[in-house]
Amino acid sequence: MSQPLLIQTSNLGFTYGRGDRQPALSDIDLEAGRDRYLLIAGASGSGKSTLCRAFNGLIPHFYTGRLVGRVLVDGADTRALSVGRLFHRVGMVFQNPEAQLFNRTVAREIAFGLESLGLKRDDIHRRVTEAAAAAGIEDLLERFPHHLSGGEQQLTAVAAILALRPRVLILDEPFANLDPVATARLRRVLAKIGRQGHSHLVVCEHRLSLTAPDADRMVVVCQGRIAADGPPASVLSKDVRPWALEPPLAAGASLCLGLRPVILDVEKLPLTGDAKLRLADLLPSPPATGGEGEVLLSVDQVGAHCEQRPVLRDVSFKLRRGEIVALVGANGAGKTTLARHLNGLMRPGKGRVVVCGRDTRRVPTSSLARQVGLVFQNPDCQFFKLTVADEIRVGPRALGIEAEDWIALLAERLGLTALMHRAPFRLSGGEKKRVAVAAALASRPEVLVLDEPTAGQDLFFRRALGELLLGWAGEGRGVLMVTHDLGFAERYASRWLVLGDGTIVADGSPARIMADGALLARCGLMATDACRLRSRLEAVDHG
Amino acid sequence: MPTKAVLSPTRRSAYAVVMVAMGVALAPYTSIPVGIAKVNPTQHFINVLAAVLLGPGWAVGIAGGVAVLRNVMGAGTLLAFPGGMIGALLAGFCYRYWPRLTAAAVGEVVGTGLIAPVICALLVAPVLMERAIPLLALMPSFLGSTLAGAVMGVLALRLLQRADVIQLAGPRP
Amino acid sequence: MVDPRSRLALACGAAGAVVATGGALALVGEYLLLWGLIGFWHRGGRYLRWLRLVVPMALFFGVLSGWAAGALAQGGVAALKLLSLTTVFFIFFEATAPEDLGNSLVAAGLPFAVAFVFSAALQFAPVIGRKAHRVIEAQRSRGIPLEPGWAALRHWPALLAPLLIQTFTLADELAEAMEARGFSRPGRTFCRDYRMQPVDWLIVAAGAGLLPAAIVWL
Ligand SMILES: Nc1ncnc2c1ncn2[C@@H]1O[C@H](COP(=O)(O)OP(=O)(O)OP(=O)(O)O)[C@@H](O)[C@H]1O
Ligand SMILES: Nc1ncnc2c1ncn2[C@@H]1O[C@H](COP(=O)(O)OP(=O)(O)OP(=O)(O)O)[C@@H](O)[C@H]1O
Ligand SMILES: [Mg+2]
Ligand SMILES: [Mg+2]
Repeated sequence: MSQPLLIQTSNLGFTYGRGDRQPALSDIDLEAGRDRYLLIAGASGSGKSTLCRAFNGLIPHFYTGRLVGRVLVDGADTRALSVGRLFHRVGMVFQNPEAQLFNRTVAREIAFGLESLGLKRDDIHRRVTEAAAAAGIEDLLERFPHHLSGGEQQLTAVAAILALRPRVLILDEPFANLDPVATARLRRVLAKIGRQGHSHLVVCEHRLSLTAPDADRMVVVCQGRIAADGPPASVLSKDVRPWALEPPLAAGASLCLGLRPVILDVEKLPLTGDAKLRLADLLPSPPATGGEGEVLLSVDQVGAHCEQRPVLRDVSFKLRRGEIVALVGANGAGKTTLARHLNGLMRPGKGRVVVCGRDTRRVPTSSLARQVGLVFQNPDCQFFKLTVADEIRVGPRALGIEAEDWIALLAERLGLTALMHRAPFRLSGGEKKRVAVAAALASRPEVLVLDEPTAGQDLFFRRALGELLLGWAGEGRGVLMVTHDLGFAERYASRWLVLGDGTIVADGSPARIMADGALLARCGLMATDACRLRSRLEAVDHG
Repeated sequence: MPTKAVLSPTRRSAYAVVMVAMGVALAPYTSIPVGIAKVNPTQHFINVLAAVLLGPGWAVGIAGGVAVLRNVMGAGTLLAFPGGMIGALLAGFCYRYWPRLTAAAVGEVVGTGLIAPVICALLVAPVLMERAIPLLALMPSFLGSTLAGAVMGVLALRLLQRADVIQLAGPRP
Repeated sequence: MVDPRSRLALACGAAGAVVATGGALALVGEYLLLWGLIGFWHRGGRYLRWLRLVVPMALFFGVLSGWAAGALAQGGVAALKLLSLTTVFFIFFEATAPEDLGNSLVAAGLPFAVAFVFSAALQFAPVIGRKAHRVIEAQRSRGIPLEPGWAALRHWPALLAPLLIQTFTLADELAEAMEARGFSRPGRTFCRDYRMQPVDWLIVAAGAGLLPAAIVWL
């Protein structure tokens, strides 16, 4: 085991800009790098990314703002260390995968940091191969990073930092864009790194069920301060929902069953005969939406190519009034490509898409906007106003819809009221996504298409969004969400479409799809915690 | 103590990357062929941005880079070198000694609109012999293009500043 | 693998030779030779697309010089010269990855930042083009009519402002990512070795020889 590299903060505080805003961090006393795996959790905008930037010296060297207190890396103040001297010791994978790729091929992307270190050629080649294998992207090595899907980009970014073998490895929401199988693989990679002790991990993540079971220590950040600190099992023994954290299902179940300390893995819960009764409230019941309404959106044998590579073939499905449908599938399956067909941004090369009786090949997108609202996967792509308030009003203004009351309500329900006068480009990752969702909802389209709405979101927003979607469907509109967050999809979507090999391979209720193990494995999916718990409960019942 | 708003060398390189890229990406859409030259307001727009944000050295380099890449792609002519680089240099120096956005714009307009056509004519003279002088007739089109570009550049910088994307801290030492 | 620097020397030599060539027949021969090279590397399709942009410029240049010299034939020669000259560099850039060229020049003393700006800009040009596209798409998705056509012109400012902001935000993020991967650290190596082999020196010599040869014989 290598000598631990200690990051110590004392009394750390940071305010972005010229210091006239709310501080993003205040009074942080924390030690990182001692524990094998440190999990940082907290609401969206609570300051997690800011804390990570302070750990590797980007703050204060790169961000303008007011820094108080100190950050010591191995005893040296980061103010006196350049980022160039820190980067290979404190490696960081940023939240936005697209923005951190700048080489011509994935292989060169991974090699760049190693070249900075001045390594020998053979070492570079060896480490590139190793890192690519660890991230499972060997087959992407010669591709252009900006042509990859969101998840593929995320894995590339992780591989590029893994190759540096930093002593402290910081990952800012590494699972946000990954499909369940890639998530499980990355989890195994991280667990292995932690076990072998090459690097100490610091991970920011909202989905605690993916991180808390592996972590040794969990720190909760709330409005820039540390609200809780300790082993995950003991932090999660309290109610963490006020901090906008969603406890893993197993933790909730442990509390119901009176188990202390809580158990974090569904498979490890000891279940007795009466467990089913006691856990009944905990398991989500499938939403009663959808059914026999009028067809809002019909996709008929659509085929598509991207840069001469076939991406979609023969995709057909229908979305009816009052339905919430989830489109799920592996990274790179073509979900985003399909979503872009639904409002005419891409015209089907083969087949056709009909929205509310209008064929997307004949109607311009700007006129379809009245019927279809689309939330992009990467919110950065869709901002074009200087304030959040203007950004949200764009749609209603362009379409001539009077919507002030509705916008005020939306802003309140999505927690944007305080951000209305900020510039959308300078928000935290989660805040940006909320603005994007609000902007699409503002013009009240009949069909709402959301691409990864919950990536990087806290409990507060996930609940608010879920409620909004249910209300939306209740009013007889339709919702199609593309998501890797199967827990959210299970709770709020009555029907799943599984995209695999460029076509819809399954269409049905979540329970039915998750019962088919072979299908899941083939399409990069995995049964959710709730589903696994349910089947264990069934087994207890029968056995 | 607030940290200073100075561009780190890395940030300068990154800005240079996107400026060259922007010049190359937009060139095919904004080039207007005028005789043997192709005027391109985008080039002058980027000159002003680069002169203000990065200084004369980088600005000239960026203009040269854009010119090379435009030539390789077939979206520019050899005259893109004098046509872009002189304005960039002058804009950079004007802004350095008189830190106002308008100074950079004036430098750009004088450099590109008045000096560059003369130099272009001189460069082409060996090929075209004594009949090169009519090339000075290019001047109005050069002037129009650089004026449009420079005005857009100033507006763009104001916008970026308002959007809190860049901080104009005055001239760099 | 021929070193990019020697290729550059060869290309410059060839360009010099083209410029120095006097006879029209020799020029035609040279141009046909270039065509042969393009065919040999199967780049014909790309070359034709590129030609579409360059031919008008060459033609105009030809007409102008023809007018200046008072002889149309002279103009034809000038046009062909310009075309061959740019074709030489077309072939050079087709055969050489920009970062290979940049990195090899760094090995010969060019500051890394300069080489990086050059090669990264080439990759980011399409990215920025796509960003512009995304901005248009985002606006259309929200009901702003930016479909191709004259009506869209009215909305041009609305397109440029976000593109500019996004581009500079991208620059900030790019800088952050570069910093986190040690861009500013001295002592960089390259995963390819750039060392001039005897063959390379031969090629450089050949490139240097082309110009005087053309002056003497063509
Ligand atoms: N570059 C920036 N300039 C100005 N303010 C910023 C910047 N980045 C973040 N902020 C603000 O600082 C606060 C903390 O942001 P931070 O990105 O650290 O949150 P976070 O916990 O990572 O949230 P998320 O889970 O949504 O990523 C937020 O209020 C945010 O709006
Ligand atoms: N502009 C493009 N050029 C070339 N290939 C592309 C382009 N956009 C997408 N692709 C490819 O098309 C496939 C589908 O991409 P898409 O973005 O639709 O996937 P996705 O299902 O949304 O994945 P993720 O869940 O990772 O976001 C991927 O293999 C991707 O590499
Ligand atoms: Mg964050
Ligand atoms: Mg996607």
